[in-house]
Amino acid sequence: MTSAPLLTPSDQQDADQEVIARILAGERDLFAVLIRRYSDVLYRHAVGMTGSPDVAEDVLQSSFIKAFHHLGEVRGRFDAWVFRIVANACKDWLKNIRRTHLSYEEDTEPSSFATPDEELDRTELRTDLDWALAQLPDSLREAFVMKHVEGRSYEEMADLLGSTVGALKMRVHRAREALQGLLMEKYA
Amino acid sequence: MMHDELTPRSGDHAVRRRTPPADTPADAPATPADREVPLPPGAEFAALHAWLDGEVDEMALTNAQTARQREVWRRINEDTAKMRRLASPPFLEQKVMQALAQASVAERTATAAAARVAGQGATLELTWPIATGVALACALLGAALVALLG
Repeated sequence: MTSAPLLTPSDQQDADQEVIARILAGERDLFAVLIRRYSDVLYRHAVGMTGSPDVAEDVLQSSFIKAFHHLGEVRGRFDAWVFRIVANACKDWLKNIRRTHLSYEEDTEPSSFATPDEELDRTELRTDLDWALAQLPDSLREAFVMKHVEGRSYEEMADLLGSTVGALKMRVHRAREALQGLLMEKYA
Repeated sequence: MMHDELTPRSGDHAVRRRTPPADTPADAPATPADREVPLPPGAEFAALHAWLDGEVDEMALTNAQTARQREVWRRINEDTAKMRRLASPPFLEQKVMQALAQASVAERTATAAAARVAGQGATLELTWPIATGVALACALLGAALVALLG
């Protein structure tokens, strides 16, 4: 992923498996290597899905702790496995927030964007885009975030979500059409 | 996406075409709004999706309707590009590792406590036969003494 762009997926998987084996053998501190390797891309997914850096941080923290406790169950790619944990946590959060009729927009806590510049970057368009994304069904929102925010290819998305390229293209297209309908009036 | 309207139907378009405004010369080139009608929904987006998916160049989208759409998507893409540069908070790794260390200490403490309880039980189990044996030996010794003296 972003922290090791020169490795092929196969090399990456081997490297992950080696680290996992050592953690399971007792070198627990090596879990930090896996956090460092995948936290950025997972954080972007969580911010895109929840619209809130604070919630995204909580989601990642609990997901990594869960991943650590179930590390012995990893079969195949660690990145895909931990992605599913984070993706499910985001969907659970969205379900809960809808059930309780709360909105992260009501959150009065100060933002945890890393720098004031990033805070300034949260433009009106970002706020409107977050609002528009919140109107979409979870599956469309997820597809849009993976394509446009994370910059993944359709093949990579299909691999991570266990779906087909055609189905994911359809979801991204439907998400774009819905977003355009919601934002066109104001931004065109 | 818009297409030239080759077979004008009745309605506003047709009325407007038949009666151009007085200040518009009849042979003046038609504006896009005058000469184009929307394609069916879905087809309208096909070229846009192809562009957003990187399958065609932006230059392939040329008509007036997609110009507005392109503008919206250019702005959305600028914003999502900024999001693509987001990094996770630097203290996240430390927080997770601390939480895991605390859980580990709690786990070890619980295990040690359980082992201590189990150890005490085992000590009791070991002590009980020894005490019984000593008591029996004392009783036998006492009986032997009584028999010897008596």
